[in-house]
Amino acid sequence: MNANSDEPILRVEGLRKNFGSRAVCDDISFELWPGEVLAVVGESGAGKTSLLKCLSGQTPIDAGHAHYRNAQGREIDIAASDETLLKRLQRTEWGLIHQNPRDGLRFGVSAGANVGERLMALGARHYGNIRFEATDWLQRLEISGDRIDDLPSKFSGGMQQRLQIARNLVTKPRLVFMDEPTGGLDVSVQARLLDLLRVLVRDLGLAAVLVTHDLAVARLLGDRLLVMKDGKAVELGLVDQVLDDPQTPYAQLLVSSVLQI
Amino acid sequence: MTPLLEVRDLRKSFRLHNRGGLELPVLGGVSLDAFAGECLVLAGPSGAGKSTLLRCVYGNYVPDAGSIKIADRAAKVEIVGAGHRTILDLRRRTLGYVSQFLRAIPRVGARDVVAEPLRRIGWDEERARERAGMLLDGLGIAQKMWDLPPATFSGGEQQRVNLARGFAVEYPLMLLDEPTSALDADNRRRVVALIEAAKARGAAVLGVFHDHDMADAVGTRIFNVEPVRMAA
Amino acid sequence: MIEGYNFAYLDEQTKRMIRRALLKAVAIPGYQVPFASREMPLPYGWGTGGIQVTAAIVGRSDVLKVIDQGADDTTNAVSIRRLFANTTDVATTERTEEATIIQTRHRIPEAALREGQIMVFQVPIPEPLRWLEPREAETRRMHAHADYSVMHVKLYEDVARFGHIATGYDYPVVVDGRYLMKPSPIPKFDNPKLDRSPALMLFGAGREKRIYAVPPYTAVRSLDFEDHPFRIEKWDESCALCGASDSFLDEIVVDDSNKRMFVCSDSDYCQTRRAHGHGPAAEAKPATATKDAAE
Repeated sequence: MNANSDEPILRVEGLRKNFGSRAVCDDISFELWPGEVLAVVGESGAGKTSLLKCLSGQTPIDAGHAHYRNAQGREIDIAASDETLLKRLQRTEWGLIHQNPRDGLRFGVSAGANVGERLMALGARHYGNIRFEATDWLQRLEISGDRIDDLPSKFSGGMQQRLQIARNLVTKPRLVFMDEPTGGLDVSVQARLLDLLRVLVRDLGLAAVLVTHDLAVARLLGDRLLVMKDGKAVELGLVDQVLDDPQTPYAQLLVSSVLQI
Repeated sequence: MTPLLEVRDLRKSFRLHNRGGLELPVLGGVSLDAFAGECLVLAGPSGAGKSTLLRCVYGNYVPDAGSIKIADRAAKVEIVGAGHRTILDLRRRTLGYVSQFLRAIPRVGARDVVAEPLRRIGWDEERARERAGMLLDGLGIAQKMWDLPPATFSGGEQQRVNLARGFAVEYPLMLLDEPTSALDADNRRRVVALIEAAKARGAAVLGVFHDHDMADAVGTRIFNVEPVRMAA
Repeated sequence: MIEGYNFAYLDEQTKRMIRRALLKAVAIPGYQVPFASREMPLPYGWGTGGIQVTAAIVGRSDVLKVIDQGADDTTNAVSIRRLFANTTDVATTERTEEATIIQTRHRIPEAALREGQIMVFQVPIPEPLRWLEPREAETRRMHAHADYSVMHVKLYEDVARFGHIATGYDYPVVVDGRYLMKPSPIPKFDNPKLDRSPALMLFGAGREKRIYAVPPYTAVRSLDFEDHPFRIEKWDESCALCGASDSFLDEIVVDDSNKRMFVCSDSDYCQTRRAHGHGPAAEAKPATATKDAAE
């Protein structure tokens, strides 16, 4: 696995994000180690997606720090980084999987071009190799290689989501941000996606921050669970520990509110 | 001889915040040791906290007070208040836990479910699957079922898959929480063999069993978990 | 020279504004500089961007050449040349080597350019990323971050669909290793002429209000793949008039029976060669057709 797994890949300290006068993320702190999946749960409006956007450099952080340890072992404060650096991280060391494939795919170009784009962004200039890698990644996500020249609009919702994952993972990112990756999919389609994600996360040793409102998804994919309410982190612990022995009133309410999982 | 597991004055209660902060005490100061090669059977009436004790040791429940020390390589590691990485690391290499129910993963075949803990400690796929097949075979799961997801299996079959998974890695400390509740006599005998083998290789086994036959067959010692008296 | 108009049609303040934009463009090779494009006495699409650039730089001692698709005698070229003749009185020419300013639509002359010459290109759509990203704010951001992988995505799609890079005109280039640039709709045949040219290259887009430049001796690289390298067009034929086998050829239908011939797109190049005694290659071409077309 990761050579420097003795150091957190992400160190968040007192992160705050304001929306007008209201804090949508308020004093969030946690550490994430290489190979770990942190699931962030909470109801709509709890600040989950805002947190993800802050951490992945899509929106500025208003206070606090989020230190990312890059591939060279150097810590970069996401809160203090300029857009150029964040963009570069987004297309190299990070992956970003959106709930809606339309936000994460280019619908005007073929599946192969979608997967190849990140390789080309990293400087790949050999068409044959790009195509070979794209085919390989489509197949890893259970998309037949002969669909490589099809437009994403010809794919089903589940396939589009798998294509989005292939597009992100082709360059072997170190840290992946996932925003409700299975939201809006049929249950049977979800299961396949979850299983693929689980295997990929394990095989690639990915660190991931996974936003979901589905506690079953959190249990299946997560190592740790961060429970958010009204912008605050109300509980943080091992996934099974928080789900089986929640300590705070809100976490107890959240866990007891879902059907048996 | 130093114990593999040292529990001292372990206290655990559940506070139900959404029931007006109702406090349910379960463990009121439990102390026990478990040694290599033995099977310590946890006994006591239903609700006495046998499962809770196992779950505290596994890091699944958060104790209120006390100490749980686990021998890990040369060191003794404190579980109570430990960081998540310590617990995850112990679970990978040192602590095995088999519950009553298999938490099946959609689409994953029985053999891969069993092989997964081995993959996590770095076994390659082929070797892990080979051992998984051997364990399933030993527990009487027919080969034609190995590639099927266990979600469709009967309760007893699922329990055997769960046992195979739990015993895949040769953990020094095994926690068993009624792992044979849905098994018939033949299959229970197979599990007895599994537990005996674990004891023979020097593992300490801590078990809750729903039937006396099973407890008698594998148990070396009995530890009574006393119910806590509710405070007035 | 027509009375009542300022020198080179535009007023002095406008010309200064354009020159400021040109200086910035030269200072940042390949970067699109916004400028306050004026209404011109020609419709958009007729070269209003190029005309404004030429108007801003032309001086009394300049010698102006205007070409359209390589030819000096088409309507567009004649109109623009006449506009400047009427408003500046500067000398005009059809000879590439005599010109100090060459305004062009869709070609770079075949004759090698020299130091001191200025090419002025008429540009319809200056933004190379527009095809994939309709938002101007977003394309500017992509330029700022040199985030050009989408351009390679386009080339990838070409190869995936056609087996080769099918882009023939306006073939994307990277200027000075930094900015992605559209070289205006010149054939890719002309792209190598941009690379380290001794002449100054200025590009004007009137409708889109952008000016950009390639200073002399600046590296201009055409994008490609290692296994699908950039290649210019090649013809089996040579020019039916002058026999040139190294120039960009236009295919012309010469009669109702669909008879065709290939001639140099650069009319000055062709005429100069013929003046030097070059003719159709010996093995080539129906003599009658050649004769007719030459008239």
